[in-house]
Amino acid sequence: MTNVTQILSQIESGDPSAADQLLPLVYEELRKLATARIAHERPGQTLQATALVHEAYVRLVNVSEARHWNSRGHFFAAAAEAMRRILVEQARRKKSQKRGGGLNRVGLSDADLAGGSRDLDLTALDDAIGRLEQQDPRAAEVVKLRFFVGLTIKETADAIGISPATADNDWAYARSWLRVQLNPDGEGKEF
Amino acid sequence: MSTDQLSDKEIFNVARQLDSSQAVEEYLDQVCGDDTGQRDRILSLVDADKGDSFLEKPPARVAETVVTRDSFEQEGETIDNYVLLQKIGEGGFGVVYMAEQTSPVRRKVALKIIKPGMDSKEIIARFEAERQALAMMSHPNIASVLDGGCTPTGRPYFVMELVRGVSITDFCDKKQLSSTERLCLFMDVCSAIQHAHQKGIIHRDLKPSNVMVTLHDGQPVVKVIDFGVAKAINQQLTEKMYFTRYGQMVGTPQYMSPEQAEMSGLGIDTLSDVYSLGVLLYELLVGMTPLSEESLREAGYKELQRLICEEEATRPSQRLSTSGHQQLIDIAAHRGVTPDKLADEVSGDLEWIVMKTLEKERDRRYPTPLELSRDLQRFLDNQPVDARPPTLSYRISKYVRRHRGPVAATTAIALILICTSIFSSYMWQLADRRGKEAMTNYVKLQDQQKRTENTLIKLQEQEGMTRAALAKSETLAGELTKQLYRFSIQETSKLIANYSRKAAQRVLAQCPEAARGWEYDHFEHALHSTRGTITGAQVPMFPGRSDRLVLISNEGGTGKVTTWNTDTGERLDPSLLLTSLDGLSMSAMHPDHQRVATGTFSGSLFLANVSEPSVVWKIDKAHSDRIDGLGFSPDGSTVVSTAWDGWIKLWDVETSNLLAKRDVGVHLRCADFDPKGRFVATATNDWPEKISKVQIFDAGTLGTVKELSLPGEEFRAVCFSPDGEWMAAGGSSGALIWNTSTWELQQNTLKTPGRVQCVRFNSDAGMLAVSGKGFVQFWSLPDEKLVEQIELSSQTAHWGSFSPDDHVFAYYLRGNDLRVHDLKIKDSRDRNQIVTLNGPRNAYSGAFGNDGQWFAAGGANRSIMVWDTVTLEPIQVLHGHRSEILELEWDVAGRLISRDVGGTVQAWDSDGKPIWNRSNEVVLDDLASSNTMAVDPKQERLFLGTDEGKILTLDTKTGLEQSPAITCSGAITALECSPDGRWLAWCDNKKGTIRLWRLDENQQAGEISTQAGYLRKIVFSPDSKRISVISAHKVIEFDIASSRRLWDTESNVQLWDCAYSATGLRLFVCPGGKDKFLKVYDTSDGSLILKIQKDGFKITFDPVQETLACHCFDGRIQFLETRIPDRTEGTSVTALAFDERMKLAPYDQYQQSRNILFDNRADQYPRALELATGATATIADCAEYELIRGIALYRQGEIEPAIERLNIVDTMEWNVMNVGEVQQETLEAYSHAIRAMAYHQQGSEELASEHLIQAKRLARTISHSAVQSVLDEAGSHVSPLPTR
Repeated sequence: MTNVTQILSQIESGDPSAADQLLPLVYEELRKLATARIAHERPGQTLQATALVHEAYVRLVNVSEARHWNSRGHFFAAAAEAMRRILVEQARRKKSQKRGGGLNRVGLSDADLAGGSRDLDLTALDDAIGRLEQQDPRAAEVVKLRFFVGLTIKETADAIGISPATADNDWAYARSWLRVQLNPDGEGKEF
Repeated sequence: MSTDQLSDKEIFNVARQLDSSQAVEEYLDQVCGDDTGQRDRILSLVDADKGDSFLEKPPARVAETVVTRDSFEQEGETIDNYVLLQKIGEGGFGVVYMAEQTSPVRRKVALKIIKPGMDSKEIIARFEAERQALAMMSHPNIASVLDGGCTPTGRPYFVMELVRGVSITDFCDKKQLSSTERLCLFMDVCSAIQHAHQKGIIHRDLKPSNVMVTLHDGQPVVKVIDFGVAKAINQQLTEKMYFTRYGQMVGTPQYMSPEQAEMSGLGIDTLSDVYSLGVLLYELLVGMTPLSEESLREAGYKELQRLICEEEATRPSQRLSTSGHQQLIDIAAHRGVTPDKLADEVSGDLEWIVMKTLEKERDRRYPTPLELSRDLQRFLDNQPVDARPPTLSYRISKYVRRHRGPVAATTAIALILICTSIFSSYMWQLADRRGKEAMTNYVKLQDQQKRTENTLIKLQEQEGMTRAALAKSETLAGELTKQLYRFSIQETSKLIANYSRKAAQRVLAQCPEAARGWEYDHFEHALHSTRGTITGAQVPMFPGRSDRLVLISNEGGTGKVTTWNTDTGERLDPSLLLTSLDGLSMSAMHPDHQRVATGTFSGSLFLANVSEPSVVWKIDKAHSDRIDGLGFSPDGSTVVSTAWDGWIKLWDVETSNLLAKRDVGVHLRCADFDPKGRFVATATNDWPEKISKVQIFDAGTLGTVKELSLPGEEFRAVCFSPDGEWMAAGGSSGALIWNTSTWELQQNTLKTPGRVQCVRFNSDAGMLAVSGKGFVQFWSLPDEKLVEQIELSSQTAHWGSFSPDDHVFAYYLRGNDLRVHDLKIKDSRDRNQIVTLNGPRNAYSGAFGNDGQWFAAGGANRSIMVWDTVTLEPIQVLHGHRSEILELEWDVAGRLISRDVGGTVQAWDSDGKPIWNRSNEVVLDDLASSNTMAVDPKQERLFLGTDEGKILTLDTKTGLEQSPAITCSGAITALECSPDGRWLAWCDNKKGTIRLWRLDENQQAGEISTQAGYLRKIVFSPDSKRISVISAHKVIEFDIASSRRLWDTESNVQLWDCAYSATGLRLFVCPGGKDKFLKVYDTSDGSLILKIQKDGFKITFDPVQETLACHCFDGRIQFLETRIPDRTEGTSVTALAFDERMKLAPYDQYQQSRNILFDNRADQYPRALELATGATATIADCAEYELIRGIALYRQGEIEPAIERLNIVDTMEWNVMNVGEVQQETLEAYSHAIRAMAYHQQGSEELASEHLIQAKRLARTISHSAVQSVLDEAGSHVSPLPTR
């Protein structure tokens, strides 16, 4: 049994400390994967967080052993957190580079944020998620899974163990809440 | 915030779903009360809920990333002894430079520098290890690897012979090389790889970019590059590599063998190269790799592995048919052929060669590149190849294996439980050929069954899972049953084509009962019917005179002697001869021309008298297997027999005593007796060893005289020249001739386009006829010139004979045609006459009537023939139409309605008398629009679509119009009435929209959009619930009630016709000219069940007798039957014969008369007049008939009546709808020329001159030789006077 599989099994059997051990492992793996991918990706290729996390899962978890318990949910929760950290870290570094920070040889420094999230300030978003987490931890979890890992509503619901309708409600709420937080020119206020 | 207060989230999630801002505010008023803070918060949240993509897209989408690595080597830089000159390429591994070696010799080389990120030390070490072996390679098609080393920055490099060229695929496409040319280049690649393998080098990375073609003295030369590089770099599809070097690997996985892709790292060996060669061959042939680059790139690592290791490669021909239209055109253009031709080229043997190379299991591939190359050579030489379609048992075991994973073990159990009985019986009956393999699989499967049963017990504990799996397995089992059925049907079809009736019966009996459909009944009928195709041999024999031909045939187990008049094509009265035959295999005529020796499939031998039909003697079990050779000694005292049991035997003709015998021990085919009485010769075949010889034995003792063989030649036919000086033998690539005194081979092989089945000398040995698969050739001797070749496309000419006067050559085609080829007359009209069936070509229309008892057909000769479908006797011949007949329908009361291309609709009563007709209702010049007439199955009425966009309803009793008269938006291209009489469906537009009309409610009832373009045919299913349509290349089936598309299928060729089976479970689809297969589809899922080789263009189905009539291009109408009709006397053909009466159709009379007149056959002028008079007597007022009669009158010296007749024609209306016929202008020019001469003879020079001028004016646009000749004739009598 691999390390991660073992940890998942411990979480499943109710060991609360196990979850803490999972995160660093998943974080490391995702970082490695992302670094390798970014360094060697062919021009024109793009890289999806979802694909990365799925690959990490296949690599870290003995799927046949893990099938009988809710391993994916736990794993995705950890992966979402790991992904969030990686991306936010990367965004911070980028900001600091713009301010004349040191050059990083390889890594995520060249990663570009593309698509619908191009204009997003990831660090500000992360801060906002942190605030949401204090107010509504489950909604924050939904955001992490949806946004950082790219899970669907259904997958998110499965990962957390709630109904898809609840997940959808949480998602809608969190989205609006975060938008209000991130939009200083709008009507949103601090509360 | 109190606990009973609603949270922001709860309120928000209600509010966001309200549809107006007013509703939101009202709601918030209620729930927030005076908490304005909450109210504002919710409002701003609802505002922010815009349903856009905010946060929907994950942030980690990493766009193209350019990572600046350490700098590359630059041009001009020096590495060891090499100066980099110019970058010439960049690949996954590294960059290739043209470089100049400075010492020890100055030369240009290619230098490949490996990209960073790989373990340089290891690479160099591995390269050094193999260097010795690499140096040993010396082959013109291999670019040598010269050196290897490390750059100053520590990156490995390789030095190779510089190849200036392009990749083999680019080269072939650019030069538009044909498949054959491509195969030749490819075989050079095989040769190179074979050489390397012999030196212990495996390439490991064969792909087009590593196989270059350069031009050497203008000749393309293949160069395989990069030997040893892959090994050194140790490129394997490991998980690590997938993640770390994905980019570098892309481009290669398509060519990677399963064992290379498997992480387990089963050793890579020479067979991996064979696999990669297979991918290359595949790409060369069809322009695509078996696994597409896109599908591989999109796949994740596991999926990638699965694709390479498990996904069965699509067959090349299938790959082509599923590629896009434009893509297909491009691919074909690169090969200088049409898409159809290309698909044709890559199917069959070539396809199996490719598939054998691409086997996932190594030991099923060709053992070496050389073997692959040899099989390709055999293919090019038209010899049988080693590669074969996979056997059933193998395919099923693969199927089970493939589907076991996803649905857990239960699937395998269910499949095995359901299919074991089918399996075991299959195993049994295929045991002969496939025994060992099948049994192993069976044992494996039983093993699996036990194992899986245990699993089942475990799984039952998890009930839900099991149930789901079982449901899925049921579906799979159903699918498997269908597959099994389809396979059995196809197998049966093949076996029947090979005359293996018994094996075919066994296979057919194993068809899963639930799946049996029309084709099962059809084959059941074909195999047990007393009628049906003539089984066994039909050796045409001339009984000492050239105008008679004798055939022995087997009809329903009864032997029959048939004599034909070769001049008239008539069959003289058949006479019964033998009893209880089990299939004739060979016949030979005694020198007295009275007696015939006949052998059977089971080895019985008969001597029969054909002049007074009787059996002289018969020996049951003269041989224990099929007799394949018979010959009489020149004095007629002895007959030699050879058989598949390996024995050659000599028999006394008078007493039937065995005179001598010898066990040759191998398959014996044809036999012939030396006309000098010295030898008997036979072709022998040692199947497992593939050694074929012509063996010559002493005619008295059967001692060996000579054994002749040629490498690669498989002999089937032998024959002595009538003077005994020469002996000819036919092999797989041609015919050979030996001198019988010296046994010296006389010349080179007389090359044939296919396998030879028969060789025959003519009487003075000045000509050799060679016949076989797809051809009959005539070679003049001794100068070995090919005098003539008859193309038979896919048919095989089995046995032939020269007539005693050498004027004709009669040959028998598989099926039941006997053709008589005239060697003296060079007029193409008289060639290739089909004796058995002398029908008019182009029987465009056909219809079953009277509950399937009658069949009517009409076509190009403007007459209709009606047959009794039980006796196949003609009942009626209907004359009256004046142009080609396009459509026939029987109404509910048994009236026959016919429509011709000129627009005339004619009704006939059941006695064949014309009742009414209407002219010019539909004038269509497009023959394709021959489906615009439909009868109401319940009422005496007819629907007629016109090109003016109208549908008329006609009373079939009177021909008068009724309601409804429907106005449509355009010309009707297809029209049909449903079997229940409720629906009328038609197409009147180019988009292919089907309009539906409710006949019971008399109103339009909707439409179905097919988006298929112009519809050629619409048919209703027998239950009137579904509808199938044919457009140019497509068949689509719809559900009428829901307008839902049920299935569709696209074809490479134009489709012309279709029909439902009686149950509606099958749809027969008939393609146009190029594709000679009638296809049978399963309408439950649109799968193709059976292809029947029929060169047809129209089909008609009789739902009562379930007979399918196929109209063939050669003029035959063949019946594919499913039921044995109750009959008293059998006849030998399944095809309808047009009898003598049809030959007297007015149109034929007119044609024959015209031919006599136009050819100036003066001796036949009385006959021409007789024929023309006959034609005009049957059909009055037909301009062209009258005109020809006028000419005939003139030629008979009846000047006055001739002038009168021809002048009347000027006032008559012409029927201009003749298709492919002599045109009106031609006939008129001829008529004027004749009148010029006629008036001249009467002394009216002025009129004569006028007509001559008219004739010349008309003739200006005509290039008909008959017109030129009659103008010359008239010009010599008449001189044109100056016009006033």
